[in-house]
Amino acid sequence: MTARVDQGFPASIRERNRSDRIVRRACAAAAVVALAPLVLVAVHALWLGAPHLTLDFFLNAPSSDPASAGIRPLLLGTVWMVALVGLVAVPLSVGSAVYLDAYFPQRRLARILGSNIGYLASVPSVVYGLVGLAVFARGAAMGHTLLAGAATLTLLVLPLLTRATREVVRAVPRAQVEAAYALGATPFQAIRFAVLPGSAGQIAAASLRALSRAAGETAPLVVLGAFTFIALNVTSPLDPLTALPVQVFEWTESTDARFRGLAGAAALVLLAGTLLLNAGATLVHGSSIGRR
Amino acid sequence: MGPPLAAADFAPPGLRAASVSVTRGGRRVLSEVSFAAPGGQVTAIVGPAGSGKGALLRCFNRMHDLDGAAEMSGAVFRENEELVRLPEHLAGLRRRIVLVSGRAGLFPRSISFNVAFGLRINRYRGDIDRQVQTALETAGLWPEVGDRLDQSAMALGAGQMQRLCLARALAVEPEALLLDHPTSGLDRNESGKIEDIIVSLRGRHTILLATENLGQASRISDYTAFVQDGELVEFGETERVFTNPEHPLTEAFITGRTG
Repeated sequence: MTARVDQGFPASIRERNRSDRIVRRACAAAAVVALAPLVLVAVHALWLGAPHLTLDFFLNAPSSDPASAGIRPLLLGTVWMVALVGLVAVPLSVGSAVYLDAYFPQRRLARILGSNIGYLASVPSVVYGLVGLAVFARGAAMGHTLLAGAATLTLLVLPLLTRATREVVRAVPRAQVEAAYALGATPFQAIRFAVLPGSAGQIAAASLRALSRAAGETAPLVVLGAFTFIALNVTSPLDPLTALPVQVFEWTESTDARFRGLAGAAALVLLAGTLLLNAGATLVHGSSIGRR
Repeated sequence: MGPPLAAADFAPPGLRAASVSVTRGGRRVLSEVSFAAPGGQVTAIVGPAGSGKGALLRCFNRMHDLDGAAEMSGAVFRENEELVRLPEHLAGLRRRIVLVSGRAGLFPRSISFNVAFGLRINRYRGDIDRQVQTALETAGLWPEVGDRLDQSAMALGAGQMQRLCLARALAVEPEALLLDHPTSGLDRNESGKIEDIIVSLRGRHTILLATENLGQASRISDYTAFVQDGELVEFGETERVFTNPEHPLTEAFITGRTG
């Protein structure tokens, strides 16, 4: 009886189990390879920079004397720019995501813009540096200031953040949006009460990720003419453009091993900052999903 | 706004479709549908799944205007007033003629937030709490949730959620309710509760009820429209349509030969 039912099927599933094991191990290896560089960089930076991570390192300004060099103005410059980028990029990208994906029916302009905004996200960051140099530093006469840097980083982050925000907005169940309209909501009310509350947490998460990206950008700021070895205190957006990653880049170039140690220490600070922003994003994201 | 209007000074308006067609994404989902649903009565729209019942329902508060891919032609009327596509009128129209779609449309917020939603967005000037209570009472939910209005609507059972959708619509005192499969996925007990509510609303609201449940249509509707493949096959008093259908397609459907 059994024989007739099993006819044509192999008696053992060992072969299938084996290929399953192979694929699983290959995928595990891929995951390890993907994470390994981050671990290597972190270990390398720790090894190089840990001895330099003193309180003075955070309080002093860069100097030609590696023993007393610190990152205070650089850190302040980066913090200023990240804050400015957040202030401008978050409302702008929420606005554009809402226009592109939450107004029904979609306008023609929204369709045209929507299909093109994605391409901007793939523009190399150094190109944004050139744009910033021409438009902000020279065109708008901002000069080589933090303001010009923040404006450039905003341009860079906007398409990324808009793309992420659009995905969040589009994930709001259509039935909820429709229900708002069906009760007499105007488009603005449908967005304000049905679309945004459900997506606020995830928009915040996307924003934090975008800011961590802005904090680490180097190339556009180098093109913009960022200063290093700034001894001034940074107190306003009109102060000279300077940022932590640019100094890391500069110190790495040094022939003096002690400066390369400083580069490692500064890189650690940068790494910690961006990891923190990302961890915050994951936290906010997780709790907002939990509430759904 | 004062106390609710007494039944005597308020007669819910009839709804009428005149040669209404809807295409969505180039595909015709409704063609040339004409019928008049009398005011204050329950009109069931029945037909096989995908026949255009929901699309027909959505004509009467012009929901198709929100869908860039959908195109609606012909005219819909509230009594003798044509309901035209004027953005500044649509919000007001949709307060009077409310679409009640499935429970997926509930907001993941508190029970009271959901019921008060329509009142807030329509800038209701009366007592919101009282209005919320009245709506929940009408929907038979007050005894069940009256003491936990701050709890999430997502924690309710399926039938309760569906009645919450009804309460949310009733709170804005609409003239007409467009009920889109209000008992789909519910057990008999919960369906029965909703049917009882619909019956109790007769006279106070004009009701259009899209349903796949023929028994339900025959039990609680005054008029029945049978729709198949986007066309209105037959319209008439429910009893007549179910006992003596004019069209062979209607007969085949109600006797279960097609489905």
